[in-house]
Amino acid sequence: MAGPVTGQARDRRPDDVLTPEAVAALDDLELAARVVVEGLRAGVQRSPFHGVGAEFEQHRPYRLGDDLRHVDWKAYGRSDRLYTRQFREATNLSVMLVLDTSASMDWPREGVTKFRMAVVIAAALAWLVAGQGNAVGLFAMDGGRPAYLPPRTSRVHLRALLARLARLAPAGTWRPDVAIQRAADRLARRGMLVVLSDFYDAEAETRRALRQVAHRGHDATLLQLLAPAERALPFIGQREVRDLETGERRVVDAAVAGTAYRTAVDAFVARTRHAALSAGMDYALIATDVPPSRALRDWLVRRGAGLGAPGASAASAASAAAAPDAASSASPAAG
Amino acid sequence: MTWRNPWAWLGLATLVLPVLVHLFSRREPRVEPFPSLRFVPASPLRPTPRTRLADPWLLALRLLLLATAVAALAQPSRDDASAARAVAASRLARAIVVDTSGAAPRADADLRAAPDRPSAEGADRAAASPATVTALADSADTHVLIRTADPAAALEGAVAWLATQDARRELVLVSTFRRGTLDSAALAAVPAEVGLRFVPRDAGADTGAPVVAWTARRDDAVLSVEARADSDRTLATWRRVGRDVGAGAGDDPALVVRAGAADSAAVAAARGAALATRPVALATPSRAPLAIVHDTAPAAPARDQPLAPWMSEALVRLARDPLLAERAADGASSRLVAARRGDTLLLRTPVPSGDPQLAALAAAALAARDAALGAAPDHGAMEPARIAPAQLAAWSRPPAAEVRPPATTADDPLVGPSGARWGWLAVLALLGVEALARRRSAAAAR
Repeated sequence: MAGPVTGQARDRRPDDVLTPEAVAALDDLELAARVVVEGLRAGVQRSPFHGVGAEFEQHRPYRLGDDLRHVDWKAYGRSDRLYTRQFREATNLSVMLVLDTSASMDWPREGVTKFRMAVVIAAALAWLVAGQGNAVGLFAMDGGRPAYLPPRTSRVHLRALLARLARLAPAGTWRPDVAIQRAADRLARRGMLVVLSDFYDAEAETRRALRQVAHRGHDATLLQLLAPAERALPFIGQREVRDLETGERRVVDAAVAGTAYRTAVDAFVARTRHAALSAGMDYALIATDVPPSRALRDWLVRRGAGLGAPGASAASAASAAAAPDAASSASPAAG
Repeated sequence: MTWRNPWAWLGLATLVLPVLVHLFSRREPRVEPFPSLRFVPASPLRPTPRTRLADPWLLALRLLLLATAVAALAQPSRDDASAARAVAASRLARAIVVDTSGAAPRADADLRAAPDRPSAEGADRAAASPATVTALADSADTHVLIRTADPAAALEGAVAWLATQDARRELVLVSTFRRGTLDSAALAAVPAEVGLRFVPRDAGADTGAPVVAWTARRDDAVLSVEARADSDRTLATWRRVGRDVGAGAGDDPALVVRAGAADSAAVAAARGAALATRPVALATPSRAPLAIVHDTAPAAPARDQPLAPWMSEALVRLARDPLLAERAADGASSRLVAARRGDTLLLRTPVPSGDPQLAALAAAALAARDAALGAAPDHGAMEPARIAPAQLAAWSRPPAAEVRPPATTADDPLVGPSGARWGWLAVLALLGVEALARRRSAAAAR
């Protein structure tokens, strides 16, 4: 069952070198990505990205030097002859990273923002994917204009992607459904879509877009980033709050509205998870107070174990999405 | 701990100002940025109590800063009162006023070389030689020596200096103590805790003359004068002897004789006036009696009667002429009338009996008479009247044992600095902390 990836200080492993605070302080994104990936290796025995997208093409006679893992031993047992399986593009997976650059990601003001966490995780994923010979691309909105890098495998492309990631800044709003659609359109063949966002915007439209992505056969993963402080109202007493994206102001009494807010946010998270899992997608909730390597590791381990991973049976996906179907996106906020 | 400026504590009233500021200051409402208001319900506003203090910690810091400044203004002084007073009480500050005015050069000679001489009046009558003055100065922990021709005027300065001394205080006057040098009014300005000591200067040789008395009779009035010579002066006491000069017996230091009549009222008035006068010092009278007749109804008191040389000349004429009258220009009053009746020399004058001029006048008359008679003067030079030793003893007093702290400014080097400087250092430090706290409060409000 996919669930939120949170952490306590006592659960940190010695290899969680990059703490959330270090994430905020580290300017070199490539270094941050490498450290995070190094931290992953301790727990991730088998890359969940390996082999995904590879298709069996044909058998051919075994030649000296062929990888014995690809020998079809069943055929040998039947025919006493050695045959090697051939796969079409066995290691050429295209991964598109979709990053939410809306203003809501630029929160909280103290510590690690959601955007910074998303950037580091995206960089680590790009490093991990490229390190395994797969293609990685980027799609984001930068100042209202799309920032797009097509999936490529070269080292130069990876560095260019990391540099582009480092230049992104959160501002304004975004349409996740539009971004997902465009990113999926730019995947030439079936590939993998990793969306990093808080998914506050266009909830219904986003669900529709994700279903369409799934229909196309792409492997989509939703990494929802939330700060622990926004799971509950982070102040006491009366306060005027301002929406980072719309600028709307509203007076809130934490004592009166705290419980309703907490309930609404929990329901929202549950809906997002359900929507992803019911569409056959992977989902993980990442908190900004967790070291990025730990967050990724937990997700990748779970994915590699086949829990909530793409390709799992509908039954297992349905059982993983155990949250009630809260289809309505009506917010409890007063109009 | 003591406070040198306790009135500064009134400054604590200013503590109410920051309280009012914090109570009624209105800050812009703090706007909290939030990722999304999708799930944030609007809430009805609760009334905010206006009496809530804003930034109570900053207010407390400001109150502490003000209180520290007030305490610094009050000038704390770590004053161990008992020990300090004990130390002060063991010390003696002495102001020595030396009267440099003198009727005779001999007075100056006394100051230069005369040794101390005991007298029948005791040690206080010893001559004030330079050694004495030096001894007075050396025996005090601190002293000031004031040489002046007007001791009464110098008292104020001496008292002012003594007021700055944190010790027992004593004022010593070294003088001949002639009449007019000092009086009770001048000494009343000396504070009670300041001791007074009078050291007479030797003004003359001891003539060794015995008590001499003479009597003059005229009609029904009898005058008796008793003169007693002392080491440095001669004291004459007038006595009325007679049966018809009013009631009351006994010594009467004055004499009023009206030629030809006994007016009880006038006698009584004159007696009263005479009682108020001081004893008159006279030279030792010679062989012949002397009677001085006071004019009971002078046209005007002749206080400024010149003494000589016309008096002497008149008396010389008297030796040849038994009657001499000197009348004033208006003819209504006489300035001097002298007559000789037999062996009695009568001098009639409006000068009151206690006036020192009368003594000088009588001495001049005697000297002239003796010269006219060809007799060698057997009386010493007239000496002015002096303040009686008994009076000086009555004025004398020791310095008070309990020393009142001197009135000094904050950093009088004789007293020591107050703790105000540490208070101001603390104020500076608190100002820095307040600035930091204010900045942090403003940042938190944004």
